[in-house]
Amino acid sequence: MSLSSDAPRSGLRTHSVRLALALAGGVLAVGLAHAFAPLPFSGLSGPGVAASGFEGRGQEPSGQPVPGDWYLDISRPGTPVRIAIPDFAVEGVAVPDAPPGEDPSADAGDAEDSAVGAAAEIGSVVWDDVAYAGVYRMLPRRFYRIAEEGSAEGALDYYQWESVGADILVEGAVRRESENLVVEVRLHAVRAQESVFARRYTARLDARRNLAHRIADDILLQAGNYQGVARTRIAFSTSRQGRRGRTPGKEIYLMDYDGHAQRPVTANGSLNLTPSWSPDGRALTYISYREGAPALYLAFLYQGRGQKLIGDFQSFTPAWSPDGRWIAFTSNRDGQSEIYLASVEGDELRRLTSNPAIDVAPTWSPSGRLIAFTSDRTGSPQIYVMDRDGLNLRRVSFEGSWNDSPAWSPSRQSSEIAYASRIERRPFDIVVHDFETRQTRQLTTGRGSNESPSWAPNGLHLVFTSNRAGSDQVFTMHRDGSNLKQLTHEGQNSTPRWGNAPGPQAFAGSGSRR
Amino acid sequence: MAAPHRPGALPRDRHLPESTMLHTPLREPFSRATRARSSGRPLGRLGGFLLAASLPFLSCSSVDRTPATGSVPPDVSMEPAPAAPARSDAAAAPAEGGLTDAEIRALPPEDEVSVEVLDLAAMTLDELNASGAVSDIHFDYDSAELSAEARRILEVNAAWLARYPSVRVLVEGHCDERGTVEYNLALGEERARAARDYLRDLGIPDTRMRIISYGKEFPLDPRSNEEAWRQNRRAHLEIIAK
Repeated sequence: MSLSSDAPRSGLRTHSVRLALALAGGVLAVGLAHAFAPLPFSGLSGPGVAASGFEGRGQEPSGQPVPGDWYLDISRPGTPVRIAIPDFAVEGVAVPDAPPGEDPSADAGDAEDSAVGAAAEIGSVVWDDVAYAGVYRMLPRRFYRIAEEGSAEGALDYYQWESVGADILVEGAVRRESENLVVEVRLHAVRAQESVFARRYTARLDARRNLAHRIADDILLQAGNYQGVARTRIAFSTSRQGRRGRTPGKEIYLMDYDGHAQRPVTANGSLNLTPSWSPDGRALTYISYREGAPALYLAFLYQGRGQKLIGDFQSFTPAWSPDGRWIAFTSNRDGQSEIYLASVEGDELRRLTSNPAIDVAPTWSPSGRLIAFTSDRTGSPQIYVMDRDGLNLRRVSFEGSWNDSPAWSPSRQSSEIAYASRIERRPFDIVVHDFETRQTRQLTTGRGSNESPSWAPNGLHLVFTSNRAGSDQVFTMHRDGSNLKQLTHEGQNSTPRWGNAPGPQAFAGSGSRR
Repeated sequence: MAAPHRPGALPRDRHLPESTMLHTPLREPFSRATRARSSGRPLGRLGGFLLAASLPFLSCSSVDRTPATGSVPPDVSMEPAPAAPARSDAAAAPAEGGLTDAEIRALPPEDEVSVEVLDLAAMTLDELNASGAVSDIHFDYDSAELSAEARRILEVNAAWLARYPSVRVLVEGHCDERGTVEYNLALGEERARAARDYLRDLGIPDTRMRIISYGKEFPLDPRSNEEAWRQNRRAHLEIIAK
């Protein structure tokens, strides 16, 4: 096997040293990132992980957030970093103390109501987002009053917060300015008695969840150098709109990473399957049966525009390349299932495999140099890897009687592929194969059939489907199999794909058709 | 309300003497009786007996000359209707022409001929597909290989297709729920292709067939057991033009 091009080298693990330093010396370190010598580290899933050292995707697409220059790492030896996120304050509305005889205006009352509601929701979303990341221990809320009561009125007393065990404190204040919400957030390193950052966020009233996600991602990035996923979305195929005509259709849907705001992308009443994200998080490619045979489509989410990319013959399981220029997919145009590459502009088509067996479900390595896929050329479906020109084929999975739906981790920290694996005819479980150690670990264990894994953009979480609750629903979990969370509850849902947070538009398609 | 009463009313009108016809007390109980019967109440039967009992009493002269069928209008109204006119005709005939049963040879019933519509234009595509003109074939788990049984069914399908050269079919490949979504899309396609290829070997031109895979999206039987899975691992021939 020559996977060196995508295998992580120790040099890529530079940032993890911060944790090692913190654990070893119990130091309080505030310093520049990107400035340490390489040290071996493989504890992304271990307890007390303060800084995950995320480096983003291989070929940084424009618009991909870059890690902060500053990081903060505060911990005592052997204990996780504890973060306190008290309720966000509501400020700037003086209605309750209005002088007697003066009626507070209705507007002011509304403003206060909306600010109070917004503050509660924003605080709770920030809490959930930070807790989801799993890098901090959430300091229980019951300690907050102790610290607050011990502090002088309106003042922040670092010693009080330190005494209840907080390492990091997030202070937030919300006010309404006409149709906007303005939130000021301060992040404190309690033991260092320093303000790590102070930012003002402004967004429309109805964008409060997005605003909160932005705050959470900033906290995680600035305080932990952790690439958050709070603004990422998950696309999936669902039957929830019910039966139409002869057969129940499926539409492509989107939802926030936490399952909120589930909304349709397609609405054609036909069968729409296997979405795949563009790297800029603004477009999807998917398969639709809307004209009868399954064809390859692009959907530009922010323009409400779609286009057919490959229409002749049947196409299946598209996968958008990390550089955004290619779509790998399966077609039967030469009489058997083969993997092809089509350019997003629609002017080029390349065949990568040539084998009478089934070749399906391609997935790109983060660098875009390798493609993994499923083939039954040895008699049962197994995972294979080839170079992006179709050469240098090698088999990856050797255990299990049916392995499918490979998903290459986008993280350069680890070189891993997740896929659905079955022993004999038992239900599927999600397993992860590590190219470096050549070990395969199992993430789900025998509760229903667990299929179609897809990695979060930071490589630390996975989304997948499971029928453990009786029907096919979408779940997420941490990359070690913990922190299971069910996101969907209606219909039958399949092939969830976790996409990047929307960045500047990078791919618009050409409008040309093949 | 009028139609069901006609068989009962006819013999009475024909065979009862004028005097009786004008006798209003007779008509009243009868019409009331039949009306009651039509509404399904027990009073109907009771009224009929009352009428039958009152007939000889009210008009004795009519009873002797009236043939058996005509003498009991209440019974006619209660018995199956069709028999009454036929028998009354047969009974009336000898009185006029003198021919008997022995002179007219009765024909045996006509042999029944069932007619099948061969012209496909007479059926809609839905009817044609529901008629079972072509049959599904089934596959083994994770296999697109044609079994002997599948080949036999395809041969029957091919013979039917050969007889109707204007028919075009969509060969659909389906899988059971146990496989993965992605691989099953390709497996379904392979099943459709295997069926299509064998039909082609049997002389059905490619131009009359299209293939499509639905993976495991459209199970025939939604249950999760061996029988359902066997039903769902199939290639289905959908007639799309006739």
